[in-house]
Amino acid sequence: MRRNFILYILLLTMLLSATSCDRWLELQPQDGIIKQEFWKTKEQVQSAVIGCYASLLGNTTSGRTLVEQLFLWGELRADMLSPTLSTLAEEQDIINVNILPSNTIANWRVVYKTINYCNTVIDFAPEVLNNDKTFSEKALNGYVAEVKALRALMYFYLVRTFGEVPLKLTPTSSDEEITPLAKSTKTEILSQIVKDLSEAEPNTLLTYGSNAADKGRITRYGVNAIQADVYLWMEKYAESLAACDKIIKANRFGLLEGNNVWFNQLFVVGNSNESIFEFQFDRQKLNPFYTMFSTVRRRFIAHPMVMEEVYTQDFNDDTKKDIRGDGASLQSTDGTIWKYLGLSATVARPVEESYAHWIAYRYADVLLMKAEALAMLNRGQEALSIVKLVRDRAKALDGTNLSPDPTDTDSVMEFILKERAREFAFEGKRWYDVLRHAKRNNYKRLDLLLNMVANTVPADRQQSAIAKSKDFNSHYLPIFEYEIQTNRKLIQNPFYK
Amino acid sequence: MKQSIRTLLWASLWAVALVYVVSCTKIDLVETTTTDVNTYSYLKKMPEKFSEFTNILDRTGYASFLDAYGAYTTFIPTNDGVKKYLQAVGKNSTTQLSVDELKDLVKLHIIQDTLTTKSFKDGKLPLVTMYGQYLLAGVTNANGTSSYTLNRQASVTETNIVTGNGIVHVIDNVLQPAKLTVAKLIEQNAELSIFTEALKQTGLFDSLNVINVKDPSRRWLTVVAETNKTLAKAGFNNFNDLKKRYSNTGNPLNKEDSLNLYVRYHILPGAKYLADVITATSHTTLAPLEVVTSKLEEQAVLLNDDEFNGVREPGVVIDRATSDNSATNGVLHVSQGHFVIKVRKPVPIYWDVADFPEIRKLPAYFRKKNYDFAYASVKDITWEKNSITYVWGTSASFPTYWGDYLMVPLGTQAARNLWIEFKTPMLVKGRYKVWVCYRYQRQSSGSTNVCQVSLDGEPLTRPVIFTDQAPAGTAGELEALGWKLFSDTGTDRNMAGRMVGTVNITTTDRHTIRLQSISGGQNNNNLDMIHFIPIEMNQISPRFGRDGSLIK
Repeated sequence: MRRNFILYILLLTMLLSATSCDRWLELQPQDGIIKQEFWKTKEQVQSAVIGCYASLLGNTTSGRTLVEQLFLWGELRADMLSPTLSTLAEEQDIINVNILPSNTIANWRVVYKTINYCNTVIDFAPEVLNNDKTFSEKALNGYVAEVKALRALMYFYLVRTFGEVPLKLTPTSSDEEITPLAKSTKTEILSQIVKDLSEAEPNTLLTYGSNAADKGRITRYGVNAIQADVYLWMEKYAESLAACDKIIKANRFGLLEGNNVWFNQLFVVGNSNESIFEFQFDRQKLNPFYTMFSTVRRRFIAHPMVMEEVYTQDFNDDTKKDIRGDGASLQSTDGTIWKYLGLSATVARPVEESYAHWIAYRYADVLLMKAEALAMLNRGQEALSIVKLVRDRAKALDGTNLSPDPTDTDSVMEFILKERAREFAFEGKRWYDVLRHAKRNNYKRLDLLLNMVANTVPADRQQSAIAKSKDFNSHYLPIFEYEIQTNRKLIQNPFYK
Repeated sequence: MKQSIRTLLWASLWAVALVYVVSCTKIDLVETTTTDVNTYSYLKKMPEKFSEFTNILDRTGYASFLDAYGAYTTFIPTNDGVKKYLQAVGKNSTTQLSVDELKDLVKLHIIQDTLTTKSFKDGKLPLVTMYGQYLLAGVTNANGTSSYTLNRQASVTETNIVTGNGIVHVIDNVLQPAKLTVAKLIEQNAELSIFTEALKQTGLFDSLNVINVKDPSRRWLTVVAETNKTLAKAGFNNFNDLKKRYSNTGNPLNKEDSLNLYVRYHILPGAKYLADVITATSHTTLAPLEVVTSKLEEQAVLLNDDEFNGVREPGVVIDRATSDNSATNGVLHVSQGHFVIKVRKPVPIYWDVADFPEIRKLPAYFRKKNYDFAYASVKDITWEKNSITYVWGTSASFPTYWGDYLMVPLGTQAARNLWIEFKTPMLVKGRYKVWVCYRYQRQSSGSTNVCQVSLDGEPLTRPVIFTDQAPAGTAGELEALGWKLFSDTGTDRNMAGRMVGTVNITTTDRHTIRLQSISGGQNNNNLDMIHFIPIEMNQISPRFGRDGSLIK
């Protein structure tokens, strides 16, 4: 009996050890891929790079995607939006110049996510050269240049929005690498951006083989466009002019004709001949704008000033109108922000077609940046003739033609600023434009910003808002409370003490 | 036996040793729900910053309640701030101040609710301090740095510190309550000597010099004073000039006297800082039934800047720099211009309700096409729900004024608006007959819609029935029945004006007229005009053409 028992036990043990699954002890995930197995082939590098672009569309923080955040940063503090009954309290606070560090709109995390993806590619892609012999050095350099430019663009948004931010240039790929990082100064960040861009410029490709890829990935022209913008911000006008000229002389881009398909090509279909770099939403990845601007519970409409002062109307002859105004940027009848909602001047997109692209740079932008650089280099007449190109395309009304004296730099610049408001209404550029003009030459034109604030905040907060805006630190958002709590090295912007 | 005792001894020894070893290491049970300290304890943690103020709290006995459950906003001066204050009042230490003085001081620093800097506006804080005076918020910029200020006495150096029972704002100076009444504040200012004299001669100085606790509506008063310079510009070099010009009865103490009214017209009930002045469009004054209107243009605060009968009347500017002065019983502002009650005769208002700024901004529609106004998209017209339609047409059977009118779905049914309200143009005080002028239409043959009209909430005597034509008869007969034909031919009975009542407008201001359906309902209520015609004037002429002409 006892012997039998031992025999059974032995048999059972043998059975178990033979059939038991050794996979139970494996730690690698079965439904994903880990770093040790990635970075082997050139296809993987490409998909990682495309992943960086994909992160521009889908990432969310506090329920907001990157594009929504960029829109809010670029427009909320400026003068072209009006709140509605559905505007969130946090958004209203920013309109009221009443920003606290607890405001989630000041959460920069979504931008750093993309930056981290870029860092990952920059750090790990070179390994692939050892593993995949078909992967060339040149191809590698192209990919790295592309994401460096993208990283530079992300830091450029950050430096314009927050002033001083931590400069993280290495990937955070494991828990050990989570370390607190102090802020860098504006100059440090900007010089890193310039460095990244000039490293990227020679290696980025001129084309990726298809029109959609050329507009959705950063080409060398995309790098030049970012450079032009960065140099304007840094008040380096000759460099900015040179960057603009590289794009213009390439003869690859042009202004679309201002006819009845203009709106459709530029904003509805996207990837037009005018476009340089776009965030390409599509049916699978919708943009956040439908709920923000569409009629039911929309959070924003256009400020009445947009029709009254930016585009203006010809009250005697309503056939004359600026094509960028009514039916393109907005609906003059009820102030609907139309740029991302319209299929045509009158037909709205259904919700499942809300995939208007977010245009980061387009040719009109390059032209007006060039005009700005020229004006600052005392070439006012040339600047004005470029502005005229943009105005003529758009059939701008005579009422908005300020005809400044070409030798009067300040007036020319003010005219360009106003033209940019017309051309890029609701494209997330207005606040940065006003701030760039206001801060020029040591805040010589602070009045531009103060007047803007005086016209947009509620009457009973006007004087406070103006006095706050006289503090230059107030032009940058606070560091979000959570970041301050978790990273002891961060020091809050002194305005938000 | 001995053996068992020994065993017992050993056993108990072991037991003791065991208990000693494993005995309860105290388990830390958390009994509090939060580790946040309350306001007073928070201050106690940083004696290097707040010891002076915590000493004051200790002495006044307020320490305990600031450490108890509740919701407080406290403004805490730092030690340096308290020292600055002591220096200013000539004391060396807070012990030299009496407990009552300190209590008053502390009360001014506490508000019984939580206020973050979000609720700081240009004027007073939304809630009153425990002392009973409002604090005046603001922002100033010094050396490139902006910070919130309170009462123009202290800047806020640290904001929105959350403690267990409220919010702490750290300030760099002690807040001091206003000590003077409005009257004294005016008297003190040599620039306001003529105005002071006028106050004294009219007996109003005394009413501005007391804190009226009996009548809470007069607890706070706001005065808009005029400087000697302003008065000189208007031709008054001394008080006698002013008296000569305005005092029609010769006795300024008389409430009917124009000088008395002039002074009363400069006094508004309530504590109204400039931020409060501009958030309402008109304010009553102590002059019976007279209002001042106010608005903000760019950055200027304007009083009595009105459009009257199509003519712009420029107003006076309030000087921001010298205004917003707190007093114990009110606020003092200084006007840069001379302003008086405007003597106006009632004039008829032939008001085209289909002409308002929002439709004028749509040149593609205004007097060209129909347009639906979405709910809440017109500033001066409010209605219950859905949209109302601006209609323009050329049909010969709709000869409305300028060819346009408003079509307002009204009715007692749930699908339609029960009511619609319009803000009228400026009406001069006086007695008017009110005519609602519409183009008769029935949505279907059985439709009926009876609407009651009310002005500022007062119902008028006669309803308007949009589904009724005017009756037949001569103009005189019709007028006697309360009807008129208002379109240019004067024969179209579909173009009916209905006299809905006589109103007594008591203040020269914009008023609110409301149409509310009380029976039936339909969509085709075609409202074209509303006439306010002074009762002694011709009620049936002029008539109105579709080309915009007036036919006498």
